[in-house]
Amino acid sequence: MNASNENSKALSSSEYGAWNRFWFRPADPTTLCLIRILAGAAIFMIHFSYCFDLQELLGPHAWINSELAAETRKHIPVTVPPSSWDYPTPEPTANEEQRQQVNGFIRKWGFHPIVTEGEGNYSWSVWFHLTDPVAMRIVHGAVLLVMFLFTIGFATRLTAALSFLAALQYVNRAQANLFGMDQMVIILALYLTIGNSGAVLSVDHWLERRGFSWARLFGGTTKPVTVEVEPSVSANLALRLIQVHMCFIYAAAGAAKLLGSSWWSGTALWWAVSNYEFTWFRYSWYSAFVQWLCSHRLIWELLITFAVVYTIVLQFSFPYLVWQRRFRWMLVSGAVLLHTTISALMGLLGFGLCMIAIVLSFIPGEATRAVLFGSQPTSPPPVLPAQAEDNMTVRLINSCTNRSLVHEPTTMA
Amino acid sequence: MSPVLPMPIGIQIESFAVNKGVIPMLENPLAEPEIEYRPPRVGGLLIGSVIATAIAGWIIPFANRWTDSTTINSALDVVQIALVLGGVSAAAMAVFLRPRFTLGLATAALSAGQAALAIPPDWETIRMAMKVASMVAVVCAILVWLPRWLQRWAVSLAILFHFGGILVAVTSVPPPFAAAPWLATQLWIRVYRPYFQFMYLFNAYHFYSPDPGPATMLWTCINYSDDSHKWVKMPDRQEHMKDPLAVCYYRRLSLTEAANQLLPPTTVSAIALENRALTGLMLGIPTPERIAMFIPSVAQFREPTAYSKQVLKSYAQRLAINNAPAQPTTAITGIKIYRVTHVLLSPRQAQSGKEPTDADLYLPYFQGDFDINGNLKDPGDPMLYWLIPIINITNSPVRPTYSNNSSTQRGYEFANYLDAHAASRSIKGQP
Repeated sequence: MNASNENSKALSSSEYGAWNRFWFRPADPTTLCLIRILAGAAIFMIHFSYCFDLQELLGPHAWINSELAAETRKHIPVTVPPSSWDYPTPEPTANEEQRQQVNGFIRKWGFHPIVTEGEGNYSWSVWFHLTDPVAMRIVHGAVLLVMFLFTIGFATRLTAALSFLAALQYVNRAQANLFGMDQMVIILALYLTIGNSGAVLSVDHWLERRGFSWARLFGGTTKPVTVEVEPSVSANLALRLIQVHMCFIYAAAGAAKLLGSSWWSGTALWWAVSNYEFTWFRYSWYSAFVQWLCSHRLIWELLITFAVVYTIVLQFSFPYLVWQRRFRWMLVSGAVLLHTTISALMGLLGFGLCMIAIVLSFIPGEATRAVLFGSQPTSPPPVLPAQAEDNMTVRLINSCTNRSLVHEPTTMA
Repeated sequence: MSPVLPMPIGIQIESFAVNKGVIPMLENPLAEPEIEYRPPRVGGLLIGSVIATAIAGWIIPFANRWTDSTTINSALDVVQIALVLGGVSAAAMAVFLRPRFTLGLATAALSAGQAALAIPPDWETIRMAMKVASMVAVVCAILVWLPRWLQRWAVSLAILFHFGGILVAVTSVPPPFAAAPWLATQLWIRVYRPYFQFMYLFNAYHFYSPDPGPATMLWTCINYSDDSHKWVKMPDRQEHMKDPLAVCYYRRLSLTEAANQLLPPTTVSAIALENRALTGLMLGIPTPERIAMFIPSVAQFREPTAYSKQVLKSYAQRLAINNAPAQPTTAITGIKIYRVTHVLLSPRQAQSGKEPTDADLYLPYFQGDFDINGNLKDPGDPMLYWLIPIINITNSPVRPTYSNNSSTQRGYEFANYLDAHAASRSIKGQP
């Protein structure tokens, strides 16, 4: 019994430790900063496109006009399945007025009010309320400025949060004209707000190395900044959140595909690449290639089936195998290839850029630094037990190596 | 088991000697003197934010009620907006400078709460956002005040809640011909909806599933009082490729999808079928049975959902603005909208040299004739939501109708009933 207790305690302790190490171990923020640049560029470009369509997509007389947007926001019925097996039987209407109300509701929304529980949603946006064209242009210009500053990493902690909040304004108002890229922009902007995405590769870092500091501007003092980047818990947390979210995206995308007959018959990719509105059919070389491909059935079958299998296998295996170091490079490269191909074939450049930025989260910061700055990837900082820092030897080593040793994260228990 | 750093033997000996008091620990002559790092002074920003938002949230609304002068009220409104913006910006700056300052976060929460009071009721979503910001600041203030191990517990629970919600969002989408999982739906509606709708995180990520489908377009024939008409097609690559990433163009494709939410195919009543046939006869459009001989396996009647109908109403209003007549004496008399499914080429068709832009690959469904206010001119139009076909009649031994409305394209011959329908005057009521 005692042994069993000891075992379970040890197990739970190791589980807590693993959980803590996964989420709260300090990590090199270089990869996160690279993601910031890619995501920032995508966020800026995607929102820059609103310059051409500000009134058509966000104005009071937009395609989804203010009236419909307000109606949806305030009165869209929330339908919920019944708590028993059947919906309650509607009571007979007491009078003509009530009957007309019910009929009007059914005409408007297509179902009986008895299946609803409440109305409206929690979306919010300045574009629901700001309708003056000049004011709209000024606010949009300010948003673009903030997003640009975020991309270059100026006051990154602040501009990251503002970029996320600004991006929400657009997606909430223009929900009828969104694409996958808008979802990815929100995910990236949210997690980049959490992590210290301006630690390097940023104007902030450049300024800090030249003695500028926001804290000093307000009478504070800061540690001197060196070329070396300190690992941070927030960078690790942000990267982990992006990674786990990416796994959810791929798992959902892969599982949902199994509902489709064309994915089983191995033809799904054909229906994607033969879509005139997305692909290069308007160019004669593409049409000629497609015609040639379709004239050679074996090659067509091999190519399309391979693409289907590649997509399914990648999306299914990614969430499980990417955590294994030996498979990681393969899956990350495979995902980058997939999204590059989709971008090239279907023209979804914004989406592709966002997805590649998300996939990059699996590349260790040291490797990113080695590629960007030419230095050799360094092994993770040595991990010592927490109590060890009190040890004189550790202090001696710290002073000799001029390097701070990293604690093993303390367990929660 | 944590790896233990190997120590050079010299350091081990030195360490042992220091521990045993054999030698005193030596001061490092090269070490920099200890500097006490001072946090930035954010008190002024925080006090300023509290005062500004207090004036905006408490005093100005009171003053507005107290005076009837429009000029003073307008001036006060401007001052109120400036104070809210200034106060919130100051609080945000203070949090940016000292994100782990409990008192600073608590003060920022107070400022955001007061700012929410200052926001006019018709800006209710921003008022809600400000209240949420206030609550988030309170939570963060508590979080930074907690010991580290409790902080980690709290963050861990938040992570579990967040990804639990992502799982719910992913699974609460109904699969084809079935209901969504009961548990996921209940959790979505009762637990996660406020959080995910506020943060716009409710996508299910079911990309290209269950099957990649055709694109939807909107073709619109705008009729003017001088008997002229104009065709507007959305999306149009030439017109809508405005930015480097072609985002404007793809957004148009999403807009057309919003009008493409359809009710499941249903059996059309005998009366409706007869009305459709008789109206078609008057317009020179073949009966559904005859169309089925040329375009098999296509549902000819597809009614949009209630939401898509509202979307179409809004689109009609936008189309009226975008295509206002140049002459003031001319007016728009009708906006006929067709939802067009652009059928994908099969490999066999591609091999035979068929082009994706061949007319018969477009399936237009009549969505209604709208006035400039977006109202259906005739909600009882028997042709409403029916397919108005463009049929390839090349080498066909039979003709869909006896009317002469054929056209040719790349050597193919098409019977184009769309033009005939678009040009027709609305036939009010039942034929």
